[in-house]
Amino acid sequence: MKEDDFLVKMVGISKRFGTVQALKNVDFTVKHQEVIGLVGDNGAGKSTLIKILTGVHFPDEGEIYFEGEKQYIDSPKKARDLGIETVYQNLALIDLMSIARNFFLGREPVRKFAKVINFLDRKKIDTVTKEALKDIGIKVRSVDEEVLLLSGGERQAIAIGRAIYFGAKLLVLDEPTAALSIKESHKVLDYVTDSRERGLSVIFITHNIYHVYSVADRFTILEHGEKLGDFNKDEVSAEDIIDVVRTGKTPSRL
Amino acid sequence: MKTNLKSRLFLMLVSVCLLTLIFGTLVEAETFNFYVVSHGGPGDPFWGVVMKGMKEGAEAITKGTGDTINATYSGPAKYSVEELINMLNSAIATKPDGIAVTITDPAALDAPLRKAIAAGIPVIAINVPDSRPEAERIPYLFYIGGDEYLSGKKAAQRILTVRKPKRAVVTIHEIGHMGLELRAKGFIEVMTANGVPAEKLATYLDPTQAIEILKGYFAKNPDTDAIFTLGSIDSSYVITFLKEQGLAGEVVHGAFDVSDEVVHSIKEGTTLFTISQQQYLQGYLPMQFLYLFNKYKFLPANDILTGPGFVDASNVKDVEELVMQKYW
Amino acid sequence: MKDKRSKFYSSIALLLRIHPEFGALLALVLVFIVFCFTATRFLSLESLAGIVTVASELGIVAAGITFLMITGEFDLSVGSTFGFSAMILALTANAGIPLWIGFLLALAAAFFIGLINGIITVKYKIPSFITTLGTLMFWRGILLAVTGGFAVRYWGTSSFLNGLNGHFLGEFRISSIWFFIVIFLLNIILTKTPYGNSTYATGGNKEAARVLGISVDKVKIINFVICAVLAGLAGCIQFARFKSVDPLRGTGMELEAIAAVVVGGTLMSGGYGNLIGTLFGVLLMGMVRSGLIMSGAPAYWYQAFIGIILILAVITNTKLKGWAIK
Repeated sequence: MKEDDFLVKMVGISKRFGTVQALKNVDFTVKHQEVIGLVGDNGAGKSTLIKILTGVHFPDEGEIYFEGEKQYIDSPKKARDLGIETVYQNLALIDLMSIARNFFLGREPVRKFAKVINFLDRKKIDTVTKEALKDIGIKVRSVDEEVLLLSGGERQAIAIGRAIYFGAKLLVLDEPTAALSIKESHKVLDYVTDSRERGLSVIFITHNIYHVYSVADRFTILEHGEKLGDFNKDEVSAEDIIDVVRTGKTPSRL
Repeated sequence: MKTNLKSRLFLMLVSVCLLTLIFGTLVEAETFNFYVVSHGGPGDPFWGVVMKGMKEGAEAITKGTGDTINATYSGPAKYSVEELINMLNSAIATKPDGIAVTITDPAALDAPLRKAIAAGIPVIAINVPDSRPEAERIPYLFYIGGDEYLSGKKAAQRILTVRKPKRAVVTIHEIGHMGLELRAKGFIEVMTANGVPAEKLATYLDPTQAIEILKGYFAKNPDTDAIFTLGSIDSSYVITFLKEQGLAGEVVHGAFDVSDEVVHSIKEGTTLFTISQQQYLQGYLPMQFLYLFNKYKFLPANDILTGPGFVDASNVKDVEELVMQKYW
Repeated sequence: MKDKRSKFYSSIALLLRIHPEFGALLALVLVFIVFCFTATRFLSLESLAGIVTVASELGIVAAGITFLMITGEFDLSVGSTFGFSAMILALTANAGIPLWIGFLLALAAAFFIGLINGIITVKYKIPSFITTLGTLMFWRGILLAVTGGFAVRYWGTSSFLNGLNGHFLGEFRISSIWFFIVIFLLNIILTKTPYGNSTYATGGNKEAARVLGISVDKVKIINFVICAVLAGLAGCIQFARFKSVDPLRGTGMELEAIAAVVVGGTLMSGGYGNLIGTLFGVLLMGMVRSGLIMSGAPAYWYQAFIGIILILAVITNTKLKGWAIK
């Protein structure tokens, strides 16, 4: 396999927490402009794998290649700098802060005062946030409103829009449609396909196989810390995937 | 050989004498453990003087006789009757040779003290007595201390000898503090009996806030021309208040407790007098008397009143140096 | 007509949502009006200057607490820091050390106290409520032990001290200028800098902020230090006026400051609040005390009154916020 065919290549990842072996020798790849569904039952190791990719944990064994180059991702900031953006379920936005502040949190544009002190560039923050939201198709009364007041779907949209604006190459979505209404879930799925059109790849973690099946190109299934297999969409049906996850075994015909 | 025997005999004689001397003193020397337990402690300069008295009273005996006194002081950082009782119980548990304690709440202290006295521990009351009649009160040996209520009354009388105020106010920096409330009560009763309106004003601990409270009070009652402060903390900010407002001299100030600030103020003329309980004695004398009682069974026939003593322009110069040394 | 009215209400709602301190301002104005009628000579320059003076010292401490509370932490030891720093200034002054050096030493001591508070809370993951309860007792204890319970008085005169807290414009004191400077600077940091954004984020959702790359531990420790240094500054400013410190100085200040901050609209759960609300909160507390005395209220009732006003203010704030969200 040529390294540069993949956006992300994780090889032989193992991680143990105390006495629990969370991941054992897992290989995981993501191609360019691909939506990949990462599925498995609870405790399969999906979160751990993603947290290693995004710098929250460091693997005991294994290597990570991003855009063909070997990387040591030891902090969330490092992952962000590489272009990996994560949208966690409850950790994407800070409820009590305004949309604009959330949008630029950690990467605020500044104007320097007396060459030393950083001041927030309010004008830029306001205009860019408004434009970015318009671009994705979200309507809000004011970017100074608290995120608290938005619906779940709107929040996901803003988080995704933020990732796109900051030039993410890889978008990691952790249970993006959980706790959303049907209408809102489908809006989020639209954003996912939209992201792929714009050139991003997306890792989609979920329990809802039907949701991810409608947008993904490929599926990786984990079980108890090990990889059961990779399957292209044209090889399996949604029911097949559900079977595999439920039984923990790959049926012989696949 | 004769000289050898002689010198050896001489050596033996000297050794025997020395040993008798050493053993003699060892056998006769005694150690006594005394506790002083009170409702106040570090944080109040008043009790700092009591602690000094206790320490020096114990040292005087230890140095002056062959016996040793181990004196321990127990008092909470902030006025608290609950803490007092806890500390008292801890002290009693060590089975000391004597306890000097403030009877801040006679009802609460009744049971533990009766038990201690029944177990044979000598108890002297200090600073606050049990004011119930002798038949009912806690059977401590006797009382060493001031008389808060009497002090308040005398303070009012003292001010009245100078002039009859149109209105008097008593600042209190800790509401509910038994000693302070009694002083205020005595003062207000005498003033009222003489036709002078008098009341308490809660001014608390923070000086900035206290001054604003005083300003507000004087704005509402501009005829106020006498002020009685109950401790070092309120004396301090009241003196500042009078100076800042230019009222020194117009408003008569009587204070309680001695501190270098109050002494300075008396010299300047801003403060008319301050009342001292001579609390050094409330630490010093218990050590002496507990020792004498333990050793020789001596017992005074009456309570020993250490206050009220007045410090004013007539004797302030004598006291001043002693204040610096923390005897007053 | 109905349309215009609902538009008016929704713009007020938006205003209250973005600027919660208006609740506190409303309370302040109401109480002011009441006292104008019930209190003798309330409207005089002297009484108003007095209110501002009391508010200033408490306010400097409350500003630090606001900043830290928004970060999601508490500092109950500010009263002890207040007294400890003041005592350091007093002791060094009496030892003959130049006052400005003593002042810097006092602030350094406060810096150190705040640093310890922060490190213990963050590294050992102890709730700050508990940590600072412990340091409250520890530093107060050290203060009592070192002074033996005796107050320290500085008998000299000093232009430095006058600069810290002398008079100006008649009844006003320089402590008010300090207070406004502190509020102004802290407010700018909070609302107009990236660090302020990080502070709000750390308090609002620590884990989300961490995942987004904010070093939350560093932010917390820095803000503990800011809070302690401001408490120490306030202690020195008070000393500059009275030139004496007793070891009980500052006792109880932490609760008053927290009350003022909460009345001002800052949430105890963190992530929300501002300094202008605190400004109104301390003014309110100062006003209530003075106003009650000047209205002739019985002395022993103050605390009960202040307690009621605190509860009413918080209820009003919560109701206003709830209404604004709808």
